[in-house]
Amino acid sequence: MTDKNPIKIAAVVKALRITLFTLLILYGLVFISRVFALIVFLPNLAMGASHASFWSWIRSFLGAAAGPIYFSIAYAIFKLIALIFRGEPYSPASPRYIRRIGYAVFGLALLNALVAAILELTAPEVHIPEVIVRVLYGGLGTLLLGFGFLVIARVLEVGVSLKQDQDLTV
Amino acid sequence: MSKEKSLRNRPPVRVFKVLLTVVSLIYAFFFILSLYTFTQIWGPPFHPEIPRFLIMNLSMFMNSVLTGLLYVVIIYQLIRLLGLIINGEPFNQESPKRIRRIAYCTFGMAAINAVAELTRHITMSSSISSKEFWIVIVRFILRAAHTVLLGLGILIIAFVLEVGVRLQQDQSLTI
Repeated sequence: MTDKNPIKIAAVVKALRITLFTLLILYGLVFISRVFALIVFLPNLAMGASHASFWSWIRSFLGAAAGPIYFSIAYAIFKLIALIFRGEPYSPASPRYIRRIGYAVFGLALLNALVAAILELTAPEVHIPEVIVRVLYGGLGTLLLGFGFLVIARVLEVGVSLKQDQDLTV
Repeated sequence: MSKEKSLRNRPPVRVFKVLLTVVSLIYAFFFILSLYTFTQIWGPPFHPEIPRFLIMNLSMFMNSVLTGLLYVVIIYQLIRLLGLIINGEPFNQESPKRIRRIAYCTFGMAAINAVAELTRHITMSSSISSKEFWIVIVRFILRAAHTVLLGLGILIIAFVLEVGVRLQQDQSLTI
């Protein structure tokens, strides 16, 4: 391993970490305001809101429920970055974190599909076949990304065993 | 290398391949369906109403057609990546490149989704109040942040894999 490349990688990873922090702060602010709006609207809902506003609240709630999933993804990415900085990208924990990201993305796909289904089904004119197509089309895309993470986790597992082999050789 | 070769017959890789193929086929079906629907409501080519139609349905075009194309690229990269695993070469120099391409596609999707959300609001409402404006901005940030977060994750994994490729090269030299 040359000395030049790790420095280059470290600079890029540092930049990525700063971007991730900025993004998380922005997302955190939006998430808090969203949760606040949901809580403020809750008494109106309990006092008997209309059918449309009830489903709108449920949709917003499901949208906000994606927040913790995104935070868990960010946590896993930060852990990965920490491993890179420690010089242990091939720790046995790495594939585990990537797999967790994959499962989180599957959860997101499910939530997105639910939100899209509620949005479509509560619309004034409902065409069931169109609803199915739109919901599946949106959900499948995210599902594909989840598969991507699982495939990459599998590649990294091989890397971990390679690293262990190399450590034993040295 | 024997461990890598043994991966070829490990059930999860095969299962991934089968699942990926099934999901890709279903996705391709819906993609073609959405393209067909889009061309059906588009009407004949060189129709005078096309520019107006395109502006009115820009967000739909971006969300269904442009994003769909990016997903096709992602599927292709994933299939090639699986091919490398099955061939027992997960640490080929191609792997980080392919993963980085997936990350760039994800960033592209973030940009398309955010722009689609903005254009949807601009084309659908004639006048936007300050409250609505902030709602649009929040949605814009949310849409972009979600996908950019995933893209960053993928990009970091690509860096980890680059180290792996060098490890593999070192090991090959040692042997």
